[in-house]
Amino acid sequence: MKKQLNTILIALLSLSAMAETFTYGDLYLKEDGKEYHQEAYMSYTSELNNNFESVSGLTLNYNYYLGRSFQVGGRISILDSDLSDSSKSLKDSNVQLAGPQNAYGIVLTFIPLSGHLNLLSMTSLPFDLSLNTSYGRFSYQNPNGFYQDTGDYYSFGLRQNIQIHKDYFASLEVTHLVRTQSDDFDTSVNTINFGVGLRW
Amino acid sequence: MVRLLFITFFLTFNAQAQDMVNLAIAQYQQGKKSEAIHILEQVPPHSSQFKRALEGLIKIHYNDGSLSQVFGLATFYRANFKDEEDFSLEILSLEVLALAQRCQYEMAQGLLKSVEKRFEDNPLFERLRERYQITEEYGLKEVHLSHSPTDEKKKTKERWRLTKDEFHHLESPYRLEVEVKNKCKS
Repeated sequence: MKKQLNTILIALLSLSAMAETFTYGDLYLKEDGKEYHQEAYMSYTSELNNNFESVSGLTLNYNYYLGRSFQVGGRISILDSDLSDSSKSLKDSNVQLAGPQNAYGIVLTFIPLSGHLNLLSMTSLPFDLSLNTSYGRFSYQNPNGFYQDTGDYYSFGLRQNIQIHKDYFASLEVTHLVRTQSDDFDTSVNTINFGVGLRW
Repeated sequence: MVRLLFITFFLTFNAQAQDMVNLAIAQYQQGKKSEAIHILEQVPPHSSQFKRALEGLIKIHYNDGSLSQVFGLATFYRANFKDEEDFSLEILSLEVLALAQRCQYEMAQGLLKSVEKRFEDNPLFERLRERYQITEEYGLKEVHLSHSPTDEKKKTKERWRLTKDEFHHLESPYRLEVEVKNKCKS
C-alpha cells in the first residue's frame, strides 16, 4: 500500500514538475511528411442532376505540382450513360439519345488550404482543400452507334483530399460541369467524384 | 523462472540501448552525423539510456546549428529530468547559449530564473549565469563555436502546432521543435 502511494506521489510530482516547466517560443511537432511533386488518382464519377440520362463512370486524373499551392494536370473519363426518360426530348432527336461516352481535358488546381485533422492523441491526417477548373472535350454516341459527336466542356470543382496511409489519399470532389452537347444546347450538371490516389 | 526471464530481458534491452548510444557516439566521431542522429532517435523513451540519448542529440543539433531541434529537445529534457541528480548543466548551458544566438535574452533570463531555485547551491550554475551576463552585456555569440551560426533552411515538412497541455503529455521528443525568432537579424 505504501509502495503504491509512493508511486502515485512520484507520478503527481513529475506531472507537477512538467506543468511548471518554463517554455518559450512556439511548440511544433514535426511531421514525417514529404514534399510531393506529382499525383495520380482514380475516381468514380456520377452526374447528380442530369434530367436526360444517368451518367456515371471512371475518371483517371494526373496532376503535377507547381510549388505547394498549384497544380496542372489532366483527366480522362470513361462514362456510361443510360437514358432515363425518353419523353424528355431535345431539339435534335439524335442528340436526345446520345449519351456522353468519354471526356478528356486539362485541369488547373489551386490549393488554398492544407492542414491536419487531429484524431485522438498524436495521430493526425494531412488534408488539403483545392479549387480546380477544367476544360476539354466530351464525345457522345447514341446506343446504336449511328450518331456520334464531340463538344467542349468546362467545369469548376472543389476537392478535398485526406491522406490515409503514407503516400495514398482519398479524394472527394464536387464539380459544376457545362458541356455543349449540340450547337444550341448546353448541359449544365453537378457531378460528384470520389476515389483514391497516390502522390510521389 | 519468470522473474529471471524478465530480468534477462530487461538487462538485454538496456544493454542494447547502451550499445546504441555508444554506437551513435562512434558514428558521430567518424563524421557520420545523420547516422548518429538516426540511431539516437531509436532509443525508446522508457529506456534507461533515453536521457543520455537526448543529451547526445542536443549536442549534435547544437553543433549542427539546428536550433529548433535544440530548443525542442532541451525543453523536453528540462521538463523530464530537471529534478534528477545527474541533470546535465552542460545541456542547460547549450540551451541558454542557443537562445543568446537568437538574441532572445529575455527568454534566456526567464529560463535561468525558472531553474535558479533548483541549482542555487551549484557553483557550475553560478558560473553559467556569470558567462551569460557577459554574453548579454556585450551582445556576443558563444565564442567556442567552430562555425558561425547560420539560419536554418526553410522548413518544407509539415508541422503541427502543439499546445502546452499536449507538450506535457508528449512521450517522445524526437519530432519536437520549438520555433524561436532570430532577433539578431532585425
